[in-house]
Amino acid sequence: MTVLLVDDSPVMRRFVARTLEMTGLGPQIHEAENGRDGMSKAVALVPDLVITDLNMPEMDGAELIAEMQASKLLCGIPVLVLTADRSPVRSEALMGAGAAACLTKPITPQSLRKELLSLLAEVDR
Amino acid sequence: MTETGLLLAATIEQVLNGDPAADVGEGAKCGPGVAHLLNTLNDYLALPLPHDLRSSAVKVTELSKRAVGVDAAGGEFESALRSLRNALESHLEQEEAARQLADDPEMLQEFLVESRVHLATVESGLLRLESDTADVEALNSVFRSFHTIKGLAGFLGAAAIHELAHETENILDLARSGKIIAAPEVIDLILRSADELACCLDKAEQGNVREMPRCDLRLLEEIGRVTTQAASDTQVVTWSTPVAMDSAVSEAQSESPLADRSDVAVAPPRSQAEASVVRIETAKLEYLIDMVGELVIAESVVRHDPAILATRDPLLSRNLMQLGRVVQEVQKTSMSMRMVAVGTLFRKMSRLVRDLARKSGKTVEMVTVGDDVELDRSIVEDLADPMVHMIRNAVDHGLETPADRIAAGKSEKGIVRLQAAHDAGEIVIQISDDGRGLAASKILAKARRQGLVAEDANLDEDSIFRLIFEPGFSTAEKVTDMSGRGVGMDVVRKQIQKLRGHIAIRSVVGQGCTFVLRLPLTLAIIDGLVVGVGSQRFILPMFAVREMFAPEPGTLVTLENRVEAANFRGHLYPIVRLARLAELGHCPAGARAGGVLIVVESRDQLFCVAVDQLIGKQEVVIKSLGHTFRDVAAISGGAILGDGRVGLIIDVNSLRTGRPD
Repeated sequence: MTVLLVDDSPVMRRFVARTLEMTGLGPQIHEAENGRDGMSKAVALVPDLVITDLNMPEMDGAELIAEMQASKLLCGIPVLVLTADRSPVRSEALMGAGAAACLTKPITPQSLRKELLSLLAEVDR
Repeated sequence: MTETGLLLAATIEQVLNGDPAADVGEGAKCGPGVAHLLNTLNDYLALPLPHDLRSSAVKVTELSKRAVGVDAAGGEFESALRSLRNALESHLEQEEAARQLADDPEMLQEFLVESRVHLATVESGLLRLESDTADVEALNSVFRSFHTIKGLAGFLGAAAIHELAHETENILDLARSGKIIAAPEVIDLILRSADELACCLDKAEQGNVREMPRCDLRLLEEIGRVTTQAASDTQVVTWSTPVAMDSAVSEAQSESPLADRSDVAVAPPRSQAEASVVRIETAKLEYLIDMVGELVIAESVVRHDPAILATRDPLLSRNLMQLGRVVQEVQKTSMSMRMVAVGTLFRKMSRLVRDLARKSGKTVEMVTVGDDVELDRSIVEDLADPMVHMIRNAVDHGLETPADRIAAGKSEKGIVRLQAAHDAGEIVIQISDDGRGLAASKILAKARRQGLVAEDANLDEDSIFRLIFEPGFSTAEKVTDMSGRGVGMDVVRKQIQKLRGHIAIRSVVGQGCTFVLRLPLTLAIIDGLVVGVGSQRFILPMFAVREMFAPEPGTLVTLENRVEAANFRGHLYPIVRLARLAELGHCPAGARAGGVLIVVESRDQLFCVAVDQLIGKQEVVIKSLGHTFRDVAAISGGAILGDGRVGLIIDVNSLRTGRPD
């Protein structure tokens, strides 16, 4: 299983990667530092799951989701959004735009793990 | 937090179950357990809590206060209590999970490093924003930084940091949606919050991130007031300064925004290039550079070995040449590892300029030129204090008030300019303002009053300006809270000289004042003039050498039968004989006419050093003489010369006085 992490904070990527590793599903983790980088890596890797932050320089998470939806190659890939926007309106809009799940901050290892396990189970199926 | 949390959870259970055991004291009057619940809630609210949990707990507190005396199990109260219980349960669970991750010291370190980089970005972003409130990119970048710190802190369960970052982010979010204007007061508040976060990060380094006390409550309160006011107002507000503000600012300042961060990354933090930067312990780097110095010496000794010099083997010669080139390259690279861009220092100063300007009610713009000029790390560090002092002088005393400036026909905005450039193997840093300039007559009058110069002394302008470097001299007529803290320009000069640098002043009345600092690129290597006295070798630092000449018979004179001097080009220079100083017991009278005189400059005074012969100019790696010989006057260190011999490095400043500086 291949997972692409898109976040401009390297430490956040490490945190998420560590949590992913702890799921015991042994995913292959790739990282990108913004939406643009994420998009080009997504095209190259065609990952099984994309986990993205929303607020990033150059190209944000929402734009990434929109571009992925517009791509035949990538539109089927589930996207997990990590966001500190606690507004439910925003989450709904993102879900409508193609995000598989939205995790609002404060994201904790525990909440992330829960979400990941359920998403990864889906992907596995 | 966990213990109080567990206690609270238990209390909630008791209240929900109507358990009379929870009934304490006055609780009898207000329904079972509610008083006890209130107590526990109070304790709980004193802890740093995630935002949701805090608002939930606050709501329960309010409702339970209202519930006093009535049926505590009213519907609204009970459901609020239940939702608090749920939030609390999941919080405790998450806390446990976060503990596992946060207990990893490596993760904590990474969090600290990244957060500090973000705080640096915040500061420069805010300053940009202040000069142009419409700078959306700056606003977004500041927002993103707080946002990231908040996210990371949440992940690690660092509730105190999370809370402050979250509150600050709220202000920035309101600014992004145009509900708050980034007025200087708002920027002040955000800067203070960044300072407080920096303190928290320092504390986190020593202790447990999860159990830190809440951040500065007054600050949180103020931020809360701004956000609620702005969020409730439909109109755009420019928030006005509360009275308590000024004292808070000076308090934050006394904690010194320049407090040095003990571990400085080798390269200046640049968020994009970050991935390719390796952090190295300073001590390791210093050791490596030391060893490279040894390598250079060893290579040179081998090259000068008589057996090698006598060899006719072309292959050996070629290999030795190759070795020499590689060693040189290694040395150059290791030296460059110590270099940092002076821009980081300049950026710290921009914060200072801003704070000084706001305090003194002046409008000041800071302009920097040559941010990417690189200097030895230790020089940059030691330069911070003198720079702060000179900039304080510039803003406090140099620049006029806006009214005075307009009256003088200048633009209202004063300019402080920091400029760095390479010049002839040295770094030149200029600190200038376009203020009122130095008044030579005032300085002279004051110096006379203080007895620093004789009443009848006739000094040119340069010498008068140099008086401000005299100990005990201060031109400030009124001593403000910022300058005039008993540290004078004499300390600045001393600090610059300790860095083997030189400071000069240029000033034109009404047009401003410029301090010109000339500094060596590095403290590890010195460009030296190697001289011989008898069989000994000494090294004079090139930066002190002005000229050298072989004295003719008529040049040497003796003043008052004791002081030897040289009459050269119409100037009379006192002579210091290295041979006498080094007690080599060799100074035959006949040698007087021979040898070489070297004119050196120390503290703006010129004198001659007499030596037997000039050997050459050489870059030498400075070696400390160690603890035992630390106090030897006039010798600042040693170096191993190309031929493997030891040469002592002369400290020109203490050469004349014969006392260590």
